[in-house]
Amino acid sequence: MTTYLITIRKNGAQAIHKPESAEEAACEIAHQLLRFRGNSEALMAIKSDSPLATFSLLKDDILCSLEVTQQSIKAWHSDIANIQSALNGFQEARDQAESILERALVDLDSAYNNSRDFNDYTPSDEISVYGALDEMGANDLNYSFNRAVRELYKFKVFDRQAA
Amino acid sequence: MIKYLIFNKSQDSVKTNVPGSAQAVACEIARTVEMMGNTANDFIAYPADSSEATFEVLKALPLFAVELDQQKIDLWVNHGEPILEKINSVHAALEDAYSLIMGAIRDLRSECENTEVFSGLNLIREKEIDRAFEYIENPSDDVFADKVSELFDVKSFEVTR
Repeated sequence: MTTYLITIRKNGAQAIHKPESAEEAACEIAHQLLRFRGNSEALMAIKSDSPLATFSLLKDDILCSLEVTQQSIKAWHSDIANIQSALNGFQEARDQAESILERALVDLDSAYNNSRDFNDYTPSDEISVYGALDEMGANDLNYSFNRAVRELYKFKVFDRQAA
Repeated sequence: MIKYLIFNKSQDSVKTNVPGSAQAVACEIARTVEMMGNTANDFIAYPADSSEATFEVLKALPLFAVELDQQKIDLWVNHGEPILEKINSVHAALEDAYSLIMGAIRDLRSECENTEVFSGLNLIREKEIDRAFEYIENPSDDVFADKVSELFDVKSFEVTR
């Protein structure tokens, strides 16, 4: 288990991390969990027990810390991308389901409204497709997965003091 | 106005209501109010004062009674049936939507189970999905059945089928 501190790479200061190194993986993980705007190569991972780590901490340059193992790096490269893709698939299925249901409900509303004797009821006044699908916790899926990933890497964001 | 008694049709019965007849309409109304997923062909209707109704009552009590005249029949055909058709479309849409979502959840679960670190992670429960779909389905059916019952003055008899 290695703990890395993540900081923003100074322009031209250091060579980028070796491809497929633990440092590179740590930067990619931090990039996603921080929702960092630049690309992951703009970040630098420093081992927490190195002198540079102490120096960066003193300078208040650290964005976050995380812990990685060989297993959790492997999970990052294969499993997390696959799960994220399945989460996106779920979101697409949900959007499609909402669209199918919404269309059917609009038609049902119209059938009620076009009837002299039944038009005192509009189903969509009482049934919200979006509300119902929210009920099943679908909105929390990404949040829950994100939390599980944060726990896996013991991800911590550092509160940086304003200069 | 003619009063029709609606009976449960035995499985070996060859009797059927003539499509488009008042009896067929009475059975459509009955199955709508009953909301048990039966089709109109699972019922048979006879005018209350007919010998067939008397004979049928000797075998089993009716399930429903409905009074119909041409105006009520038109009301059902022109207004009730189109709404019922759209309710059935909502049911079909619900099945499609449910199948889409369950498929995506199976894929998600399978991806999690195939990993060492996330195999125990249960991101969504099927029970919650079922509850969400029940919420969409139930209100429109109940309201329609109640309204049909009121508009067509349907009398329901307490019979265990």
